[in-house]
Amino acid sequence: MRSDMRTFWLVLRKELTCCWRDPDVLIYAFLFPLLLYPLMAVFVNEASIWYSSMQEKNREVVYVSGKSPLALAIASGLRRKNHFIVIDDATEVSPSKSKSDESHNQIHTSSVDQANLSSLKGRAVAVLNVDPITSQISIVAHEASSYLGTVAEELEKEIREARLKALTKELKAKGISADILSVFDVQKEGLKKLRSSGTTDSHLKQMFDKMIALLVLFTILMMTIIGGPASVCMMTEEHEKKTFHTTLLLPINRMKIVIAKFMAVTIICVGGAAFNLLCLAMFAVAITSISLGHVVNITKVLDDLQHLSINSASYYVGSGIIFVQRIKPYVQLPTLPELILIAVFFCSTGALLSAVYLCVAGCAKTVKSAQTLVSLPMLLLMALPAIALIPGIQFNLQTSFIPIANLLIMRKFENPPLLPSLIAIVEPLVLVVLILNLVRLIFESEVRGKRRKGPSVGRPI
Amino acid sequence: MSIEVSHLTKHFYDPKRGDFAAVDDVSFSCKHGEILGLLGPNGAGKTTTLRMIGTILTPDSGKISVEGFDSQLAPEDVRKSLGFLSADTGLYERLTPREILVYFAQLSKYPQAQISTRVDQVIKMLTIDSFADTRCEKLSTGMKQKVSIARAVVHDPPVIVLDEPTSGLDVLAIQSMHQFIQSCKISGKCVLLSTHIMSEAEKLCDRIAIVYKGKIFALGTLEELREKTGKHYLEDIFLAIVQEAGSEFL
Repeated sequence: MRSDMRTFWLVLRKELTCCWRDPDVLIYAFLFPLLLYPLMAVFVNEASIWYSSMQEKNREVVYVSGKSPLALAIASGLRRKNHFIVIDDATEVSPSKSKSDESHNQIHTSSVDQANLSSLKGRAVAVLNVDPITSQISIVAHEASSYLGTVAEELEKEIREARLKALTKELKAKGISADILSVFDVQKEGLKKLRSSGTTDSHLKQMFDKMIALLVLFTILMMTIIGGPASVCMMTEEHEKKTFHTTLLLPINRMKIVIAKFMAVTIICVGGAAFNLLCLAMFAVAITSISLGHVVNITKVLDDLQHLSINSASYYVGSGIIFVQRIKPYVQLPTLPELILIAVFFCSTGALLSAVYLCVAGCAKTVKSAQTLVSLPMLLLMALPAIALIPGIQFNLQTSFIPIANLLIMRKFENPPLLPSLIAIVEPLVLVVLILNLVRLIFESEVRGKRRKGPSVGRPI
Repeated sequence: MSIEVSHLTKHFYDPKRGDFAAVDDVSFSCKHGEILGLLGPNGAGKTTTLRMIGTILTPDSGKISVEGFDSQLAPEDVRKSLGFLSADTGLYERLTPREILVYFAQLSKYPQAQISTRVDQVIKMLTIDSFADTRCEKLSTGMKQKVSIARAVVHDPPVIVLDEPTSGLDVLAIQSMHQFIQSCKISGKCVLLSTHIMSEAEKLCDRIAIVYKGKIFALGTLEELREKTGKHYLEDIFLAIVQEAGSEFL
C-alpha cells in the first residue's frame, strides 16, 4: 500500500513538474492574475486620481450659516472629510486670494475674497442654518448624491457627531465626563445600528450576494481556462511529443497513471483558480479602498516598501484595520457550513472539469486538434453555472441532476431538501469516476490497437 | 530463456486493407548474453512484435514470457524487467535527463539508496554529463538518443529490446550505439533487436529471424542461414528467403 502510494506520488509529482514548466499553464494560472489584476488596480487608481483632480475643480459647496460653536464644529468636521468645499460665516474675507486657490482646496483656511465668497454661496448645494440660541439646525439641500450617499445624509451624520462632541465638551467642562462616556457609546452604537438596518444596507447585501454569484462564475471560468492547457499538456502532448509509449512502459498500473494525471490537472485547476481568486480579491480590496477615498500613491507605497520603518508599517497596518472596519458592515462573512459548501463546490467542480478535459484531450492526437476539441466542453461547462442565476429556480430532484449548477442552486436555500442535496454532492464524484474509466479505456484502446469488431477478426485479408 | 514468444498473433484494421494480420503465429526465444535480430522490411511486423513484448500492445493470441513473467498476467513485472527503446519512446521534454533517469529508476523499484549512484554511473557511461541538467527540449537528436538509451538501461534490466535503434542517427552515433549493444551482450543481457539494415544485423546479431508480412520465415545463426540458402551475404540470404515465401514485395 505504502509502495503504491509512493509510485502514485512519483507520477503525480512528474506530471505537476511537467505542467509547471508548460508556458501555457504558467501564463493562464499564475502570470495572468499576477500581471493583469495589479495592472488593472494601478489603472483604476490612476484613473481615480485623475477623476479626483477633475472633481476637485467642480466640488460641491456646502454653506454653514451661523457663528455658534456648533456651526463651527459642523463646518470643521465637514472640512476634515474633504468631500465638499465648506464655507461658513466665520470665513474671513481676503481680497488677495485668487480663483486658483479655490480650485486647490485652500478654503480650509477660512480666508477668501468677497466676490468668491458670494459666488460660492450661490453654488452651494446645501445650506445649514444653525440657530445660535436654540441650536436647532435646518438643512436646505439638493438631492445630489456623493459617493457615500446623499448630501443630506452626510450632513445629518456630521451634525449628529458635532452635537455629540459639543455635548461631550460641555459635560467635561462640568466635570462629569467619566460617568457619561457609556451613554455616548450607546448613542454611537445606536447610530451604527440605524445605518446597518437601513434600506441602503439591504441593497448593499443584495449587491454582495450578486457579487458572490459572479465570483463563482468567474472561478469556474478560470478553472475552464486553466484546465484546458493543463489537460492538453498532460494527454495530447504525450502523443505529439511521442512520449505516450514511454509512459505506457512505466512499470506501474495504468489506472494509477490516469488518476495521477487527473489529480495533477485538478490541483492545477483548483490551485490556479484559487490563486486567481486571491489576486482578484486583492484587486477588489484595492478598488473598494479607492472608491472609499483611499487613493494610493504608488510611488509613495513603493518608496515606503523600500524604506520600511515602524512608522510606515504601523501606518499600513492601521489603514488596513480601518479599512476592514469600514467595509465590515457591508460584507456578510460566510458561516462555517457555507464555507464547507464552497470548498466542496470548488473541489468537486474542479475535479469534474479536469476529468472532462482529460477525457477530451485524450481523444486528440495533436495539440491543435485538442485545443479545438477542448473548446467545445469549455463553452458548455461555462454555460452550466448560469442556470443557477435563473430567477426563481427551485432546488428539486430535476435541478439536482444538473452538474455544477446544482450546488450553486443549493447554496441559495437555507434548508435544502435532503435527497436533492445528496444527489448534488455525490453526482460529481460519480461522474468523475465514470469519466476516468473512459480515460482508462482511451489508454487501453492504444494498447489494444485499431481493430474492427466482427466475424472478420482473425482472418487476414 | 529470457524471452519466450510462442504463437503470437496480432490483427489490425485498416480502411484500405481491411482486417489484416500484422503478426501471424510468431514464435522465438532469446537467452541471456545473446543478441537476437528481427530482420525485415518496413511493415513486416517487427515493431508490433516488440511492442507486444513491451506490453504496449495486447496480442490477440499467443504467449509472451519475459524473465518468467507472463505479459498478460504480470505486465508490470515484464515492464520492470525490460529496457525498451524505439523511435516512439520519446523523452519528456520538460524534464532534464537526470530527472528522467531518477524517475524511471524510482518507478522500476531500483534500490532507493543506490539510485543516485546508478544515475551518475549511467550518465558517465553514456557521456551525458555535460547536458544532464539541461531540459530535453533543448537537446540535439544525438543527445536525445543517448538519454533514451540511458533511460532504457538505468534500472539495469536483464532484457533489452531495441526497435531500429540506429534509424536517423549519424555515423558516430551509430558507432556508439553498436558499442552499447555489444556491451549489453558482454554484461550477460538478453538483447532483442529489430532492424532492416542488413550490415547491422550481420555485425551484431548472434541469431537472426527473417520477418516478412508478419511471419518468421527463417531463424538461426548467420552460418545456419547460409547453409539453408546457399548464399553468403545476408542481403542475398534475405532475398532468397523472401523469394521462397512467394513475396509480391519483389
